[in-house]
Amino acid sequence: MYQYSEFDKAFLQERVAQYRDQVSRRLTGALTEDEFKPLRLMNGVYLQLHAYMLRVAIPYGTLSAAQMRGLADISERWDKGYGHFTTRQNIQFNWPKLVDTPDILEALAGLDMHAIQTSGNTVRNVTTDHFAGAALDEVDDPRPYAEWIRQWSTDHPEFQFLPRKFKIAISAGQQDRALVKAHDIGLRLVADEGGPAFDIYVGGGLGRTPVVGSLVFERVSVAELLPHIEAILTVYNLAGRRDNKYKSRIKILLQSAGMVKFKCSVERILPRIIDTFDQHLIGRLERLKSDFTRPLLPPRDVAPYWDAVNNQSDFKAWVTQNVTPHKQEGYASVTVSLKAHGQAPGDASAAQMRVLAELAEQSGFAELRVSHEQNIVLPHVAQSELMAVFARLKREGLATPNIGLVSDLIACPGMDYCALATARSIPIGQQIAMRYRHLEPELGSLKIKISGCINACGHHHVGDIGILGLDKAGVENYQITLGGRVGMDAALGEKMGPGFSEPELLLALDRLFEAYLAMRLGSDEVFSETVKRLGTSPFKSALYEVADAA
Amino acid sequence: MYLDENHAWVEALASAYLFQSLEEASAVAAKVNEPAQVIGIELVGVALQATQTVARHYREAIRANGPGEYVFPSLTGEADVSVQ
Repeated sequence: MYQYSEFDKAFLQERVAQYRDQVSRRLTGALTEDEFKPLRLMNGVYLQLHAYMLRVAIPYGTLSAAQMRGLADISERWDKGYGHFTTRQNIQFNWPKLVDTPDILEALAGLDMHAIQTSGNTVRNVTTDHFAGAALDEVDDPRPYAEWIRQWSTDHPEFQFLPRKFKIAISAGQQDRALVKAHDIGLRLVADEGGPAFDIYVGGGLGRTPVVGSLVFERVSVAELLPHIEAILTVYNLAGRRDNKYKSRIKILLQSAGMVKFKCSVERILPRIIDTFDQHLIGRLERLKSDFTRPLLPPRDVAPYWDAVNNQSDFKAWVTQNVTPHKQEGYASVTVSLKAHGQAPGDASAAQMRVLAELAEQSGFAELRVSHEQNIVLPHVAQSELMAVFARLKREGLATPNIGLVSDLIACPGMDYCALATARSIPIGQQIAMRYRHLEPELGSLKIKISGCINACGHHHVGDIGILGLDKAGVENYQITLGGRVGMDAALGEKMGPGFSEPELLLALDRLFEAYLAMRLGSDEVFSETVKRLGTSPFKSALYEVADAA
Repeated sequence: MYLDENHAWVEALASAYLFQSLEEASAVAAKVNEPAQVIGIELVGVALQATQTVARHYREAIRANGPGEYVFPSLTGEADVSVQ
């Protein structure tokens, strides 16, 4: 992991002191809410439906065991004993008191963490593959590059007041696990003749105008990566719309200008940026790589592991769903489900966070990851230790073997917490998880994503089944989309038709699943493949058949 | 937070003062909207069910009652492990 320097530590302490003074002035009335709002947002403090919310950055989703334990302590001391891990690999606390937020930021600084640029019209947390450094299919570990971009973009004076927020993701695997095509800039690390290089996708994003990102630059060398990002951001900063927040993301600029014109604008300023770019920054990448070397993973006896797989059905089920092969033989990556049936997706109690920290220390080289699907990953676990890890997780209610299945769904906080939401998401997710808990092994791999409003924080556009909650004349109403997917063949789901009330939604899903099970070619044809093969029409008929008959 | 009959801020919807006209509500809202203390004021449509004041819109019901009850298996001892 990146180790904070003395400069980093002093920088955070100064920011905390600055923010403490701002809060103090707000509480005495010296600052009005209008004056205070941009200041608190620069420190990740939002105002939600019931209370303030603090979003804490977890750079590229990587946490040490000590940091996870510190987050547990913060949740107990200043919140309600839990935290919510987000789709952008951050954590949110839903109940902090404003007066306590400077103390929380100070505690975070003590953990080498902060909430800077987790809000506002600036470059947000750079996200990446939660299996980075362990994935069998990766070209290189993407985290040093993510950290490099984080350092360059943090407090960058030119990009603190962009037209709108700006999200960057990096993927380095054959399979894209970072949703690069759903980001303002998506970077795909590829092996080129001269070494690693980047394909740069621009203008992806979900929200109210979902767009799949376009490949704008191919095979960009490492030395020219930051200049390319700077040139893209500069064009966006100058030409992006500021008159209408719903048309201010870079995807709208790219659409209105057109790919050719946009690319020309970037290329026009690129030589100057390359020529004058700080060479010190280029050199820093090599030093960062040493912070991300994989821990020494000694060989272990795997015979007991295979015995357990062959003889314990619950262990085998968990290994099948929640354990991913590692690039080093004898090791694996464990995905700990934060989706126990009936639990709010992505929430973890302080007790659970401490167990995860302890397990990381005992069996995972003290390292954890947050996945964009709101689970926690132990990236490097010896197969010989998986039985002990499973037993401990099972005792703590953290061993639900459901990764990739129906109940491993994404749900935004929805109207239970969010001031922007138009419907609840979490209770819908809970009901779906409970209703299909016994059917989900039969249903197989299936991604359900639920958003509580058109801002699409629950990524419903790219779910095999997307659910969008809306307010229809004062009643919660849920629209279904089918056929969305993430990855390099990312596609947006197709809206099926009129929405359903909450009770109707579950009945509609019953019919949808029944239709899938009847129409699939076999148990190895997953839901998305059946939809791709047959199109959405037969599923649309299934969704609405009862309503039509009535 | 809601305004009670003395124009003090209270946490329970049941303790809130029920304005009988939009004009009266708007006038009081303007009077208590002290920028140093208040972030924003919205009028909430409510109905009386027996003696209970209930929000007309589900958003206000959630604001009044808080989010749903969420279960943490590790806290309740309801370990949720095997689905086969």
